[in-house]
Amino acid sequence: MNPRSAEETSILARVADGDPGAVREVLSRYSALVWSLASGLSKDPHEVEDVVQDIFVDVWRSAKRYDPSVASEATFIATIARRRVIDRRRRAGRRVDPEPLEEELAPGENDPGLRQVDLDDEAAQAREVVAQLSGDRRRVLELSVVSGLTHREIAADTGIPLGTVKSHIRRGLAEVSERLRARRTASEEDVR
Amino acid sequence: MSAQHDGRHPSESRQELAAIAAVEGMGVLDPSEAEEVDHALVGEYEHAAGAVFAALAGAPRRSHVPSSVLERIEEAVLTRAGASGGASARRGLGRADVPRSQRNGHSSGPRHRAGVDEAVRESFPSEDEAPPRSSGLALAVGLGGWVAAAAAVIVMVTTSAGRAPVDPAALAAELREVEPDTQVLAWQTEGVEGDVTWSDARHQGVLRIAGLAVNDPSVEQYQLWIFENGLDDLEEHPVDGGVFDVTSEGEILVPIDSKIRASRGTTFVVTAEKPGGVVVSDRKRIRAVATRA
Repeated sequence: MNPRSAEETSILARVADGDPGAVREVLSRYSALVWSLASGLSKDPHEVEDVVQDIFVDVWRSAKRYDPSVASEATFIATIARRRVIDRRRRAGRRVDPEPLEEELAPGENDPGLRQVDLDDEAAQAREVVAQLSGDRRRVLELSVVSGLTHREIAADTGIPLGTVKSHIRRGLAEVSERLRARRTASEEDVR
Repeated sequence: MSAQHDGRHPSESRQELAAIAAVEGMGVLDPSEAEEVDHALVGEYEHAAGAVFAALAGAPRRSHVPSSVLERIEEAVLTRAGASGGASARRGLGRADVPRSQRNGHSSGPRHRAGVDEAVRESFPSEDEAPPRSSGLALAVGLGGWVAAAAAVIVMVTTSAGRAPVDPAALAAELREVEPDTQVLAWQTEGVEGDVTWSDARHQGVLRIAGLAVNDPSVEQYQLWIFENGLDDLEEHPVDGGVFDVTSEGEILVPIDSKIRASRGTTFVVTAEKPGGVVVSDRKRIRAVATRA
């Protein structure tokens, strides 16, 4: 485990212990990431704020389940964020729009809060894997994971056979999962 | 530990099942698939989906959340997490507990329906406790919603009739699959997520619920009430849907164990009651409400 992940683990562990002071630290580190993930749901910042609030409440409640051997803290939080965002999208019957907000939530580059949204290592790994996927597979994975469409909806929208859609989702997730696992193993060996 | 961690290689079909469950929820699986699926693999794939989501759905340029917004979120987390019993940080229910989008008359997108908890309480008035928060939202979740298999805790209930324990995930999937009248109603109380799957024809259902505080069964237990009427006309004597405990944070699945047959389930209410439950609830401690009317 690298130094940063060790530091992150200590924060979620404090959250799991119910330390109120840990809330501010978690927000400081992850609020911009979560905001950017939730911002695709709506252009209305008030609605985005509602979702971000829900996500952090979920993080607080789920922190005890966090296992650093399974995922990085950022991935753990992004997984919770994804559930919330897609759940809202399904309820509203609309897709996630990955286009970011353009309004007051865009300060200057010198803002110290900016570093917190640097892509987590695991997300960077995932991006590399996705970039290497074939066009159809990448498209299907995006529609499933980001837009939250079901495999049936994807098949209907794209004309790709249902079985192929399911295969694309399986292979895409398996490849990402494999890469992340290999990276964790390498990190653990580096520490030894 | 997943099958892959064990050195085994799950078959493609099992991987496919796990992948679909990871991105769409366990609710999309049929009963046999739900039994077969590798929950550890589902969790692994869901984290992979989380990493992909972080990689692709994050803003392409850096963004920053204003401090005033952060303060509201912090206050809300402390309040809501404290109210759930998840921390010692309870500060009471303040302004931050009101969804930002509901302030100043602003409205957009889905909302919890305002006042569902109050409507239940008023059907049996009590002035002893301030109403829990509620805010709004649509009734049905078309896809059966999220069941994070790796995280979901299944509450196996042995029914009052002494029947074998019910597997709630399989039961919910079966109802959705084979009973055309099955309804899936989302909880409408803020801070509570999940839904009620219910079939009038079978008089059976399953709660999928997250956001309830872990309870000490020696102090209090949760009890489900099934109303045949809607919020505007709740009957005085609903059907007792059974008592259950929340033993860990996160989502749980609870089969509905009604002591008598509910001819029709329209409104579902979870209350906190004394250990063992009560025959008549004073409806003072309402924890979750879902209704189709």
